[in-house]
This record gives sequence, C-alpha cells and structure tokens, in this order.
Amino acid sequence: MDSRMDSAAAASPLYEARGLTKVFTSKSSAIGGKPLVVRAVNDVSFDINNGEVLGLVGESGCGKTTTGRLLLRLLDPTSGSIVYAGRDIARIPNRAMRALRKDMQIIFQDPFSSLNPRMTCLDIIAEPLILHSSLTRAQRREKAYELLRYVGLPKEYAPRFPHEFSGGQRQRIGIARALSVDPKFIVCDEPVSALDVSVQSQVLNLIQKLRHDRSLTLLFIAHGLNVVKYISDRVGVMYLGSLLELADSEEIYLRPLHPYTQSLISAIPDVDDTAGRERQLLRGEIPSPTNMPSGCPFHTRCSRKIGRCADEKPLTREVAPGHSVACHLI
Amino acid sequence: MGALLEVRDLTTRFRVGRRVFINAADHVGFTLDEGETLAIVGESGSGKSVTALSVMGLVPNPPGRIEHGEILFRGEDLLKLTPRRMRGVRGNKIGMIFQEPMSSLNPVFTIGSQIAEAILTHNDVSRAEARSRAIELLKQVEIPDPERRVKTYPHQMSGGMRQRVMICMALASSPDILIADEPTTALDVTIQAQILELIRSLARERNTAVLFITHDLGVVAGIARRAIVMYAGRIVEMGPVKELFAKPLHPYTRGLLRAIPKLATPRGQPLYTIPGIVPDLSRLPLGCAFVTRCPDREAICGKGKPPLRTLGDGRQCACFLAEGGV
Repeated sequence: MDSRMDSAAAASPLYEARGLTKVFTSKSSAIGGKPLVVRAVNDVSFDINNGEVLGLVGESGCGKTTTGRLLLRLLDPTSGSIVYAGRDIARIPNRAMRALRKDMQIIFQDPFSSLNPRMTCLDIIAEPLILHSSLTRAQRREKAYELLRYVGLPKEYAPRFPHEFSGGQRQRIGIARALSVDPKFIVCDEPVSALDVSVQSQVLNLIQKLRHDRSLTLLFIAHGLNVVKYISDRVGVMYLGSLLELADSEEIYLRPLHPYTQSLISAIPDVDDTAGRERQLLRGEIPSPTNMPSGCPFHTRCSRKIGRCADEKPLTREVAPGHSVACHLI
Repeated sequence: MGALLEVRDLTTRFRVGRRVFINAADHVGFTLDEGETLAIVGESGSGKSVTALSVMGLVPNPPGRIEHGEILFRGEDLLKLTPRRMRGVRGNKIGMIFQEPMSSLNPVFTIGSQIAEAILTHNDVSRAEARSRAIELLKQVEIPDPERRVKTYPHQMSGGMRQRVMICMALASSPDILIADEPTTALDVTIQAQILELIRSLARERNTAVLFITHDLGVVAGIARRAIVMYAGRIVEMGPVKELFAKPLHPYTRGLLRAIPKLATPRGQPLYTIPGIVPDLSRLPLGCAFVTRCPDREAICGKGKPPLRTLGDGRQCACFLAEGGV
C-alpha cells in the first residue's frame, strides 16, 4: 500500500458535492412553445479526497464536463452544495470566488482552441500570474521558464506561438499554464482525447508526475475508460446527468455492479481482445437530455429492468465499503 | 489473380508549399481478398486516409496527385479508367463511409430521398421502388421505425443513427468493397460497439470486403483478421492481427502497443512512451522515417529506407533489424 493512499484516506475531503444539480433552459424551437429544459447534472453527490485522482467517465451528454465546471464555479449550480476545503462555495459571489480561483485550474480537451493564438508560449504560461500573484514581470518570466522545463519543453520554444506546436506540445503548454499559480486542484477535461496514440502516453505520464510532485488533487474527465482507470484512484460513472456508480478504480473494473457500467466496460475496444470476446452490446441510444426518461435514467436501455425502474429513481447506496451504486437490482 | 483489390507501389504526392512536396502515401502495396476485413492503422499523417482516397479516386487534385502505382480492382487498373467509368465503380462496386456522417449528408434533404438517390444512381429502378428499397435498407442497418425515419432530416438524428444511414447508402448498390475511414471515431463507446457489430455482421452476410481505417488499435483487434500499420506514409508492418499484436516486429508497432494503457495496466505504473512526435512529412529524416524515435536504431537505419520484407507466416515488416516470424 503506498503512503499517498493512506494519507488521502486520513485527510478530510477537499471537495464535497451534495445534490449538485445544473439545469439549462433554452428557448423552444416552436414559437410560443414551452422552453426546453436540460438537466445536465441531476442530484449528484460525491467527495474528492485530498491528493486523490477522481475519474469521471460517461458518454457525450452525461454531464461529466458540466460537473467539472460546476466544481470550479465556471457554471453556477441550480441547486446543491459544493463544499471546498470546508466552505460552501456554491453560491458565494464572484468576487469571493476570485480569491479561490488561484487554487483551482483546468486543462482543456482541445489544445488548439484553448490557447490564445496571438500570445507566445511564455506569455500564455505567465499570464495567470498577473492576476494571481504579486510577482514582478521578470519573476513571472523566470517562473514560466521553469514550468516550461518542468513540462518537458526546451526553453527555445518560449517565444513561439501556439500554431508552431504539435497537439501534444500544446497540451504541455496548457498544463504549464494551469500549474503556474500553484493550484491545489485541477480539472483535467479529456486532456488526451485529441492526441495521437503515441503522444497520449507522454502526456499521461506528465500528469502522473505532476500529481506526485505537487501533491495535487485531480478530477480526471474522459470517455476512454482504459485511460481513466489507469490514472484514477476512484472512478465515477455518469449517465444522463446522474452518477450511477462510484468505486475504487480496480474494484469498478473487476466488479462493476451497475448494468450500465458493465456494458460500458464490455464496449471498450481493447488490444488484448483478438480472441473476439463476447460483448454485452447495449441496445438503443442515449435518450435526449431534454426528454429525460422517468425513474432510472438508464431503464430504457437496460436489459435487466424490472417494473419499478421506470417509475422510481433508484437511490445511491453504498453496497460495499467505498462502492456505491444507484440501481434497484443491487 | 486471386485478390479482389491489389494496390501496387502506390505513391500519392501532395504539394504543400512552393517546391515543397510530400509523399502522403509512399510506395504502398497490399491486397484485399473477397469478403476479407483488412484494417489500416496509423496516427495522423500516416497516410491511411490518403491510401483510401487514392483507391476511391478521390484525391483532391491539386494539391494531390497519384504519382505512380497501380490499383487493381478485379485485375483492372482503376487509375487508367476514364472519369466516367470510374464513377461506375465508385459508390457502386466500392462504397465508402467517413468519420463525420453529418458532413457527408445533405442537410436540406430527407434521409429517405438521399438513400433513394444513391439507389437511383446505380440501379435502373423507379422512384417508388427506390423508396421502398430505402426503407428495406434502413431496416437492415437496424434503424427503428424506418417508415417514419425516411421522412426525417439528418440533424434530427444522432451521430450513431447518421452513421447507420451512411452505411445504408454505401451498401445500397451491394458493393464488393466497403471502405470505412474512421467510421466510429466520433461516436460514443457503446454506440461505437453497435456500429462495429453492424459492419461486422453486414460484411459477413453480404460477403463484402472491408478496408477499415482507424487510429485505434483496440478497434482493429475487434474487427479485422489482418492489419497494416502505417507510419509517415509508408507501411511499416503487415500481418495477421493476432500475431501482429502478440509479437509485433516493427519497433513502432511495439511502441504503440506498449504505450496504450490497457485495462490490465496497473494504476500509476509509468506508461511506455515513444519519444518525440510524429514527424513532419516535409522534413523526414534520411533513411527510416522512424529512426529519430526508435529505441533500437543502428547505423544502417539512417542510411536508406528499409524495404518491406516478408518474414514468414504472411507477415511483412519494413525494418532492417527485424528478424524472422514466429
């Protein structure tokens, strides 16, 4: 057992999200019609412990990205609480929030659209320090150079512009920028999905390294389950805005309990799979979040559904230590 | 002539600047047998899509041009056909589906009329017949409620449904070959699994050969018996998927397989990495294109392009240092 896990278990959680809900309302397509309501995140509760990596997986529209943005208050929750380091930040004013932003950063999926094309690499990395530190210009540059080296880019690259870099290098710049203000918590929103396979592992190793070097807490969002399992201590599975299952990452892959988690794991194309494993194919499609099914959000595609699944939303229960699941059958 | 499709020594060149040319596909050769599924796997810029476009006669010219080579379909060189005769092959004998189905469908026509159009182009049938065949085809690609679906527009469908429509259009003329260029990359995992299963079962039922292009080695494992690995425009390795994954011969294939976190990879164990980045095709190193990133390189690797050598058991590898098959 490594010491990191022990200390993480001992400390109190960095984040406690309770009943987190985000509803988006948009105009109806029909004139004078009812507005469309999307429950992007629907009554989600979880903790993120100090120093741990919590993975969130799910398919498009499941609310994983929205959840990440709610934690950072880049979006305001409709209801629910977000306790960060002992303080509920769900509804504090933006001014109070600004002081906290230094502690929480984000790394985006698309390194092509998340870097300002008119700024040099060095300026991009140093920019957050203008707002969040009292460093002089020279000190900021000094620090940016240091970060550049830390993420594995030679210092000759400092005056270059984003278009001169490959996807993997841009992602390194994005990581250096997030690290510049010495955050405690980083949301990694699909950080390797847009990268070539041979470059993905370089960036994943970098994320592992910084997490250990800087005792960071991460929320790692991805749809690639093999990547999430590899990097996370615990993994949460989301579907249509609900958190269906949450467990230790080994546990969830060895003993997935929710029928959705089971088919999700079965659907991963794996290179060890040349024998032609029997897949548990999910039928049908993800329902539209504007027209959420009643009861359990998954019941329309579930092969094991029973009568009450359509009427009653299953509560999340802890069925084994650290393993919670929202399903009537378990 | 046993092979359904034989690509010989294909070189497709693109002009990327004043007097700057790149060989996006460089001396590519392979065969595809009747009813076989062959995967081409590679990263961005490896030449996998250009190879597919070359077979379809869809290389944009300018800036692209097929410099030399032969593409033999049932023994006939497609590169020598007139544009008119090529149109009789493309979409008819060889169908193709692309990564992003939304941009391949016309947003202002119903999907029914688009499928019917595909049928009318290649068959001598009436409109009414084409329409009922469209419904029939939608059923075959497992679209629920096809009678209603023919009247919907592409934007009213999900990505997975749109890809089903594309498959249905590609199959409208019962082609001998289906070229699938990253057909599941834009889809969610559970939908990807459905589409892969659909392609697999349709190909089996209709004895359609599939040329499946992907960057995902996991997908290759699930769909193909035989695979080609491309790097910087060239084939670096080719062989039966099982052997290729169990005992990769080329250092690039080896690196790729080791770099992917597998479900069995212990958490936190550093991943193997291939150093460096995919090279810029206009500035390839001398000799083997992989030489600058290769952990096993020797002096010879920087001197000439390693030829694709047969190393027993239907396996081929373009590495000076690779030895014998199994």
